[in-house]
Order: sequence, then C-alpha cells, then structure tokens
Amino acid sequence: MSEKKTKFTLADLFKRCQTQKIDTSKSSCGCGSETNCSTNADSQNSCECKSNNHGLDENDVASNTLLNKPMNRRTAIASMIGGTVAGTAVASTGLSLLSTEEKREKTLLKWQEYFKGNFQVMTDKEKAETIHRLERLAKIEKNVDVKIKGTQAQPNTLYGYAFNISKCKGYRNCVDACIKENNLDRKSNMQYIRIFEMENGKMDLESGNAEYYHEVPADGHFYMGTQCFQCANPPCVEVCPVGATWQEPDGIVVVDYDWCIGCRYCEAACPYWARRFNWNTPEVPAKEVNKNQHYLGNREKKKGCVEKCTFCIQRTREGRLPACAEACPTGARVFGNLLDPNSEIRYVLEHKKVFRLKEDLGCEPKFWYFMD
Amino acid sequence: MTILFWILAFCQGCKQKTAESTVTAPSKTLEFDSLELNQLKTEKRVLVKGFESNHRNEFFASERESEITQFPCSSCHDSVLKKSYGIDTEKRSMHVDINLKHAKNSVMHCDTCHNFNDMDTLTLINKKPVSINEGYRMCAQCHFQQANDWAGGAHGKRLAGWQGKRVIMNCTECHNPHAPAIKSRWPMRYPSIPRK
Repeated sequence: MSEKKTKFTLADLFKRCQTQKIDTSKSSCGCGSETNCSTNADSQNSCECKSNNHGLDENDVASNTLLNKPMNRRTAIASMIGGTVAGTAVASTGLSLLSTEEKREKTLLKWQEYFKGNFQVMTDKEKAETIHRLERLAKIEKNVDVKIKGTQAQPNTLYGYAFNISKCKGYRNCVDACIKENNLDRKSNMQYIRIFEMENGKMDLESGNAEYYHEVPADGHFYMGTQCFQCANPPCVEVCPVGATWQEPDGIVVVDYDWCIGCRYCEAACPYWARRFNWNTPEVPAKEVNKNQHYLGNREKKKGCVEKCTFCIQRTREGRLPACAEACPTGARVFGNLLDPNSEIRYVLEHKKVFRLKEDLGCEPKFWYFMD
Repeated sequence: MTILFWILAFCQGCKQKTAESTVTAPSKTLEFDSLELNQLKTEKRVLVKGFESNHRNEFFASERESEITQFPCSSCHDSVLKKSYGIDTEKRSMHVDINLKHAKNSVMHCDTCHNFNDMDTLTLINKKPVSINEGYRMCAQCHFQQANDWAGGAHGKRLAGWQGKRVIMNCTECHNPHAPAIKSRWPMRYPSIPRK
C-alpha cells in the first residue's frame, strides 16, 4: 500500500538532506508548518497553524521537499524510521518464514498507524488506508475478518432518542446487546448504558440505585436508563485539548480513539457520566467480536483512550435501529430522525409529556424521557 | 390391574403431548443482531387502517396467522362451538396451557374475543368478525389510549430500522392475550460499578 514511503532508509534521507541543504531550524516551533508561524521566542507556544490539528494537512506543508514531493513532518518521520523498525523486527525473530513475514507486516502497520492523523482532516485516500491497516491488523492479531466502515452522515438527519420510564422494567437486555454490538471490554465489564432503579415519586438521579441485582421489576420502583445523550451543546467536546472528539452532522458525538490522549477531561466534563475510560487493553474473545464495525464506532479500542455510546453509528447510518432499541423487550426505547415530522420520535415529543435530565445545565441532550 | 394402570398412564401421557400449545406464546426476545430475522418479519405484514396516525403515513403491523403453529383453527374446530365451552382448565381436553387471566371471568369469556361461529377469526364486541392478523383492533376496543400510542410510535416496537417502511409489532407479539400481566425475572447482566 504505502511501500513507497517505507523503502527509504535513514542513511538515504540524511544524504538527501545534506545535498539539498535543508534548514531544519525553520520548523523549530514544533507545529510542523513553516509557512504560518514565526520563529520568535515569544510566539513559540502560541504558534498558529492553518490546520487546527498540528500541521497535518498536507496542503499546508508544501515547502518541505525531503523526497522531492510534498511531505509533512509526521509522514517524514513515519517513513524515515518505518523501514528501520520493520528491519529490526525481522532480525530479532527466529521464527518460520511465514510468521516472520506477518510480524514484519504487523510492525510496519502499527508504525504507520502511530503516525496517522486525526480522522477529521484525513483525505478519503488516507481514510481508506487506515481502515485497510486496521482490518489487516485485526486479521493478523486475532484472525478475525472485520469490516470497518467510514460511512458519512446521511443528509437531513438528526438522531433523537426517547425513553419510556413507565415501560422499562430493568431487565438490562439493552446492556447485554450493547456490550456485544460495540465490542466492549469484557475484562473490566464495561457498559455504556446504566439503568437506575428509582423509588416511585422521586426524580433525583442521585438517589437512584444503578447497582441493583435482584428480580425485577421491584415493587414501588421505576427504572430509568442513561447513556450518552449526544448533546447538541456538548461540554465534552469543548474541553478536549486535542480535538479528538466532535459532533457529526447527524448529531452524534464521536471519538477518534487513536487521536485521544487519555487525559479524561471529557469524562470529568460530562454531567451525565456517559464517557468510559479504558484502564486496560480491552479484551474481547475472537469468537464474540462483532465484525460489522465503524471507524468512529465499535471498532476495537486501545488502552488509555476514552469511549462512549455513539447511538450505534455503524447501524443507524445504515437505517437500522441501535442495538439497545432493538433488544429492548418492553418497547421502552424509541429512536428516530428528529427532522422527519412523520417519525416516531416526533410523535413522542408532540403527544407525550417529556422531560430531559439536568436540563438547566444547557447541554441540550437529544434524549428525552416520557411516561404513558 | 397393574397393566391396566400402566395403559391408563400411557394414554394420559399421549393426551398431555397432544395438548401442546396451539396458540403461540409471546415471541422470544429478538436477537440484537437479527438482520435477516427482522427482514423476514417485515415481509410478512398487514396494512394497519383506522388510526389517526394514518394521515401522517401508512404503516404496517407484523402478521400473526403465520406464527400460529396449527392455523387454521377450523381444521379442528369445524363445527359451531357451544357457548358454555369450558373456562375451567380441568374440564378441558385441549388448550390446557391457556389460563385466562385477563379480566374477571364474569367480564371476559372465551367468546368475548373468539368467534364461535368461525374459529379462524376473532369477534369485536359489536359481533363483527376480525382476522387474527388484525388482532390490534380487538385490543383497541378497551385499550384505546395504548392503541393510539402504538399507532403513533410511543408504545410498542418497530421492526428492522428507523428508515424505510414502518412495520411495527402486533400487540400479541409481546402481550399474551390470555394472561397479559408481565412476569418478573432476573436482569440479564450484572451491573458494572457506577460512579457515585
């Protein structure tokens, strides 16, 4: 795929550098872009790049002609050391030819993955490349043929969710479906959905019990499910220091798991406790991996990144229902397009008494609760 | 004497076997990734009529007759049934699994819903016959509020997806018409420890 980039060795590049006399001090600000930043000591920290993602945009960096073609710092380093790393991996293995070949490929793919950019600024070609790499890595590491998609948002869609608190009986079928659909970590028992058992007549979420485990429904209680509400005004996106999380045109707040640095600001900012942090490398048995994946959705995550409910982006963008709504045995979950006046969600909003959680915070969640 | 006892016991066993449910129990929980199943279900559908929501968009309910294992009922019930046909489980030779717990027996009897003149259909309170596929019309007679919500989308469950033809589950797919009360059971998953 990108063999071209990795063919060059370190020595080759140094040689070229010397002959072309590239002044490396120019890009000392660390943003990778030379055209838009001054080299003053004062402005080093406040360097402004045209592309908001650390000079990843290839159009920005046409002046670096290391290999006689436009290249930015990220790709330059990736190609410089990529070949060396792959070479060392081969040298250090005393295995059979086939496994050596695979190990070499894996190392190379991982290296290229490490230097890829933010999904928001990737070109279509780069997106296809990284998706291919991830699929290949899953095949090598787990022997699973996953299909990762990068489906764009459908035009004229804004997803909304409604939850019937008089119907939910606390069976947690939704939780089970969510875990299976989204390849959630089995080791730490990660769950996006939390069902609160609430005393009748009390609306305070703080007094709800999400740890219940007994025969349900319990007398004198009702059940209230929470997950990511895909706020229209999401505080988690505001606080992210690296732009690893954003709102898509169809209203879904997504995370680029590979761009996330794991600072957990978003987890602290979310008033609904919707975000989850991977304290360990997520473990999903190869047999149970859901192969229908999306780059911004249920693909396999890594240690130290934040993840969250995406309304099952891999399903909903194909016109299907989220796994939780499909699995609900009581029909308490209603999902649909808010912009379609004939949708079920619009019927609920127009005909039932609805409320939202912590509405006074102004996050504008797109998740409503209603009663019969 | 012993032999006679054994023969009797054997016959009893046969009787129990044949008395298996001819009316399907509420369908099991859908598998979460049941794309094919859902598509199959949405192909068997009936157009729903007579609701205000139809002005917004036409929609369908899933078919029920094909789900009943021994349909048509007239293959056994070929004659007009007696009005007093047993409500007591002990006196019944068939349908022993049906235990009517819908309303008081003085209010509801088998023939409140079943058409004794034609067992393949149901009967409305005004004695008009209704096909089993249109079972929602039976329920709507009393549960009109729920039926309106069902037609609009606030009650019940949509099949397949949020896009495309709207096919929703028929009432009896979730609710057992003979004993509609929902039973309690254990949750499917143990909770992960939440943040306080």
